[in-house]
Amino acid sequence: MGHSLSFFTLALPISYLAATAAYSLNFFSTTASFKQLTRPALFAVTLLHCAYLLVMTFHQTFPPIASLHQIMSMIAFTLLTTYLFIELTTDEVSTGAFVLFAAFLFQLCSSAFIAETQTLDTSFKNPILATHILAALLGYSAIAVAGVYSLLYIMMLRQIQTNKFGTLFERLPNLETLEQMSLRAVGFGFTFLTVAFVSGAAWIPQSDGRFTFGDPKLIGLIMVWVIYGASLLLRQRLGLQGKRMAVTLAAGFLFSFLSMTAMNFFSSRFHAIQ
Amino acid sequence: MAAVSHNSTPSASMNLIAVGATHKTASIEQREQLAFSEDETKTLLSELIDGGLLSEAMLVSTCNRTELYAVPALPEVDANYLKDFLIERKHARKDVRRDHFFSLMACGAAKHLFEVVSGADSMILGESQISGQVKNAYRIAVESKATGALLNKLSHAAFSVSKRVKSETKLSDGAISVSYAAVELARKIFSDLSSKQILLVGAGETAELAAIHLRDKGARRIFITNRTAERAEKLSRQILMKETGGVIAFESFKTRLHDFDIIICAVGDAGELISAAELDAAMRQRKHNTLLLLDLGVPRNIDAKAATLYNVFLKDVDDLKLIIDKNVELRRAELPKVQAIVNEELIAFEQWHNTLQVAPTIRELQAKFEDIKKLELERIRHKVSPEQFAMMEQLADRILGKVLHLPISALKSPVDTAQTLISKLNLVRSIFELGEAEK
Repeated sequence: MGHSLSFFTLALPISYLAATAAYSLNFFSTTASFKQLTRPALFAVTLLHCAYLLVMTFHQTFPPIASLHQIMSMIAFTLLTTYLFIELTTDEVSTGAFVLFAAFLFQLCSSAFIAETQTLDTSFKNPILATHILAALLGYSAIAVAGVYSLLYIMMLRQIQTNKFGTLFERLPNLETLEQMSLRAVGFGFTFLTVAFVSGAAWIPQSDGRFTFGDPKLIGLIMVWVIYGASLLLRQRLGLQGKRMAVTLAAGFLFSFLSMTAMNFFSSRFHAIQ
Repeated sequence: MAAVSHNSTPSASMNLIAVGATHKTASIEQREQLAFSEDETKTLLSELIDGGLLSEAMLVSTCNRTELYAVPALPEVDANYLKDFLIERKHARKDVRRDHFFSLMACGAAKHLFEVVSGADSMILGESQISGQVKNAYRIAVESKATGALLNKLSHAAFSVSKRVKSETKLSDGAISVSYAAVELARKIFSDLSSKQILLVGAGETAELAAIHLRDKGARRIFITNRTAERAEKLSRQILMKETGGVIAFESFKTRLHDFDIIICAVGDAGELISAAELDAAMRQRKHNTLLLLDLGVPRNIDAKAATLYNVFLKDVDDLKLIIDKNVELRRAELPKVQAIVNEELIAFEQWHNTLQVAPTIRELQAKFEDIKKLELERIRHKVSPEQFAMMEQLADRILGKVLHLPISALKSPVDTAQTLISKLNLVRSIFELGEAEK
């Protein structure tokens, strides 16, 4: 196991960096051939990370979400998965560098500071709690990605409105596609936040009183879920779109980030993750 | 790789002259006088070839250039002779002089054709029409039986340059006309033009170009309105939008503004046609779905206040000019890549030409050694059995092949200049006593 862990500790950040480099070259370079590198790099890093998760799950008999380092690696993976979903559904590769760079940073932190002997919380063996954590990570990662796309939309919009046709104007996809990518991410995230919400609520009675419905994290999750649910509803019913939709999603992401930070500050426990 | 001299002085080897009047050397009035139609070109080429003045010729005549590529058949046919010939042929002596022409020789001429066909020499840098025009010029020359080994090879090398420049550089990327820039901007806002409803107000030249670019980029629902309905009908037929698009009466188009995702106005001297209030009402009707307004009219056709409406993008000619300026800058940045391709192809072309020059010497060398072989074999023919003779003949062939391989390879190898080639040829001819070279 030690050899496998050493291999993944080194190989994962390198593969994330390689994928980020491939997408960055495609974005910044004028050479068309770099585009051919992007998808193989994305699939390679996805397969490698899947292998790591399988090995770890097999080894510790539950998903690798039982320490801060494992959580950071899992965040990298959920960012990657969200991006993979968006790229495959929109067939647009020009924005990968932005998301994969964030994923690389998370994986780098995980690999660089990984503890030799880790204290694992065995309560994560409970499949409902594991589902809750995984779904929450996927949900938050997806809304973070939606936030990135919303910011890119606003930047692109500004370049068009002010006639400053710079690199973003040349290289980014069109506004409609950026909006579509942002909405895909929100839809993906909202689905997993719903799963996180339901599984979290289902797990509380089994937690032997360690968690209640008044848990700040759960309240934060519900608030984020309501904000994104309302955004999707407003879009469907009132046609909320364009800059207003982008600003709403970017603000939603900011709120999620701040609420998580605040909840961590005020809460002595983060769902028992040590 | 061998370096290529690009000067315009005649090389000792390549008998090629290019003379021409282009947008760089002559005014549009002068170029107009020198323009040749297809029939005129055929007549000119026949006259030059059949008259024994040239052994090969090709004339490229477009709105921006008239260029003659020629292989002279007589020593007195030089650049000035050809310039005068073209001027006299078009009876343009009054306005056109020799100094309105450029003249280039040998590799300089070949390099110029490569630059022309790549679009690097065009008035609109990177425009792609020119490669088709050069292909057409070559077709006419071939049909007129005016091409030979040199111009055939030169033309095909030029087409290869054009193909490589298109695939390996971005010299033709980005919009550099107002109508195309308008379409490019639309593609930066909308993902799929085929699903968008487009209204074209006006049916003049700008509107026509915009419609063609839109159609080429996948737009299928183009509606046209114009004061003169016949012109709108004609444009609609031209862009083949009868099934998915159509013509709207000019008097009523404002009642349907809300139906459209893109509205392009290109009506000259009409002033404001659409007010901000009308667009505000249309936006409410279309629930503030994105609307792109492209005002290509001068004076402008759309109230500038419309730019403040939510989810409305309003761009006029000046805005689009900024996109064009940026694209021209990007195209200029591609020129070093184009030059590298031109130089590579020029080296290949010159090396091919050198092999033409060494071919007679190689043939003579092979013949001389073949004679020696036959002579020596003949001496022993009656001293050995037929089987032994056949074996000795095979052995002699193998030895000859190996002995000749070295000088032949040396002759075919790349050279820096034509002078080096001549020195090499003279050396081989001198060592093997081949006598005077064939003319």
